[in-house]
Amino acid sequence: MRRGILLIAMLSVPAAALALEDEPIEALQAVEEIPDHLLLDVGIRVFDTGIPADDEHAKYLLEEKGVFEEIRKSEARWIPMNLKRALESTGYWGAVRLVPAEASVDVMVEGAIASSTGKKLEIDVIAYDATGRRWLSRSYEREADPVAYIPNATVEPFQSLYNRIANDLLKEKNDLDPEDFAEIRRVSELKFASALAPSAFEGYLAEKKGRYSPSRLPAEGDPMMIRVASIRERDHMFVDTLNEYYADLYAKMEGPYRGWRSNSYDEQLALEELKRASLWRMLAGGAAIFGGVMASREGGGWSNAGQIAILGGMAAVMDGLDKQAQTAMHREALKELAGSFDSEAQEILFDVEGEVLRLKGSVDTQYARWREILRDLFAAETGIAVDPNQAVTPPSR
Amino acid sequence: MKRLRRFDPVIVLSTFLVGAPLTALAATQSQEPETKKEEEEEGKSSEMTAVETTEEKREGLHRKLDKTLSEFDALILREQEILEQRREAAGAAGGGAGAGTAGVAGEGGSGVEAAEGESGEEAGGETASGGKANTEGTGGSPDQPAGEPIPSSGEPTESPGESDENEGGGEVSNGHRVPEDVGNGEDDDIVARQLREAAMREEDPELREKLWDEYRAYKFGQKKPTKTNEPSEKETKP
Repeated sequence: MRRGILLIAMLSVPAAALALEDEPIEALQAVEEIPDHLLLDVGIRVFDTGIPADDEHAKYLLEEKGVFEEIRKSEARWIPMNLKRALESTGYWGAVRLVPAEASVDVMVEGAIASSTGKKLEIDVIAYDATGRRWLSRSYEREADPVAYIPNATVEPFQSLYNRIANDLLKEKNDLDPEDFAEIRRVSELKFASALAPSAFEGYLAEKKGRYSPSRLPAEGDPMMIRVASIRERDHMFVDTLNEYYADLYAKMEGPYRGWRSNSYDEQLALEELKRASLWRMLAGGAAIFGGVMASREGGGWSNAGQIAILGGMAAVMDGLDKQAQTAMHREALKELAGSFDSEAQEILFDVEGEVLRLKGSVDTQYARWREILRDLFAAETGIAVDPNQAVTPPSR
Repeated sequence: MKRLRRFDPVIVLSTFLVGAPLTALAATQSQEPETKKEEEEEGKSSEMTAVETTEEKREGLHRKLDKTLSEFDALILREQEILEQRREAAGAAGGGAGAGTAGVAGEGGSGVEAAEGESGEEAGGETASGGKANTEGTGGSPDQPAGEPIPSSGEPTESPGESDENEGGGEVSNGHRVPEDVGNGEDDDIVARQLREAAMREEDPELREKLWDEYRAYKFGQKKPTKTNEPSEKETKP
């Protein structure tokens, strides 16, 4: 009996702990307008799906567990969009954008999805600024807010997780000195400039152990810097347009994704309940059988109480086995749900990502032309010969 | 030339052996001092040309940069149009199935969407408050920016042409007002044409005027307005 009580206590402790841990988290909001010099632009990259791209066997194994590639790809865009909105809503940041991998921004946030179901989200996040200072590197895990799955609810199930990341980033930002802001922005500008016109901005940035600092600054009214600033403005326009495509993806995905997550949440809850019940019955049944056998042996023969305990225990074990069979059914249902949404997600993703790739292709061509023109302008203005291959393969922009 | 036409064995032989008729060689030798003078003069003038070429090259590069920047602006404008068309198409699709989607999606935006009023406006049509549109079954565009009124279900969405206000003078083309001073756009290149089309389609009068300014700057910055009746650059080229 004691064992039973202990077991019940063990099974119920995590639930209580979760309840405490899962208090809603609000994103800290700016109470007054933040001055421009204390604002930093944030770039969020599309997250890593957490699915190995070229390993078909691994993909198959994950699909068996209900983890589908196209859903993850969509989530790899969905989650950063939510984080972007959480950050924007605080008023503590400059422009917050989803950016291409090669972008040069003040603060960059990257992430990878470790686990994502309708019930739980687990992501690994790192954040660093243009100077290379590491802001964050940690895992975030959160159970869905059940209120989000009530019909007509307008709450994002994992809003608290996004708010928590926003708060952690704010904490790091608040630890900066006022001069750090200027340096981060300057390095970010110079990184962009040296990627676009390497010959003109060679030696402007110093790098030591992965940390960047300006070693010298362009003169006031430097014509090359003015040109770069003009191109950077366009770069922001391009990234804003990309973000509109991602917003399009978000809008198209929202309905079906919410539906899938809601169903997945219900199935997941039922599955966990069955697992718990099955385990409990198997353990209780096993204990009853063991107790029955012991009681019979102590009595020197098969006592009635012992026989009853054994029979009861066997019934409990059978029930546990039956529950195990039911969990398999729920797992299959989860897999089917995911498989069905996967096709839908694929269609949405192909549509939007096709446009994104087309736009990026056109823009990359423009960048190649700009690099070439700026290289030639630098040579024409300074008389310094430039390696013609230099502008072709830039490190980043 | 007449002498060459006659069969002269000396000329033929010299042409065969030396590669040029002796007479021509003789003529070349007699002209040598003059050629040297010309070469010296050319040498002097080539230095001048080199200076000009560097200047010209620089100017050419500046023009090229300006042109690529304008092309990029046109590219982004075109993308905005594509996005707009996608939204209109999605809005139309939503109009048919608005009520249907209301049930599926659990209606609506995330908790963050409450804050979208502020952030959404600055991001243009970026916010995805489509959930809200679906929630109410209005059939509005999923990308209806937060804070903007959502068109009611079945209500036909206004096309850019229909909404164009026609105040002031100017030619009306395809339902869009074209300022008189920009000409008819017959000799537009691809960038100018894109800018012109973007300006013609723009509904916001302020933005439209900016687009026309950009069009003017691009087109007449390179070339004089056609009012002078001078032949255009293209026409003068062989």
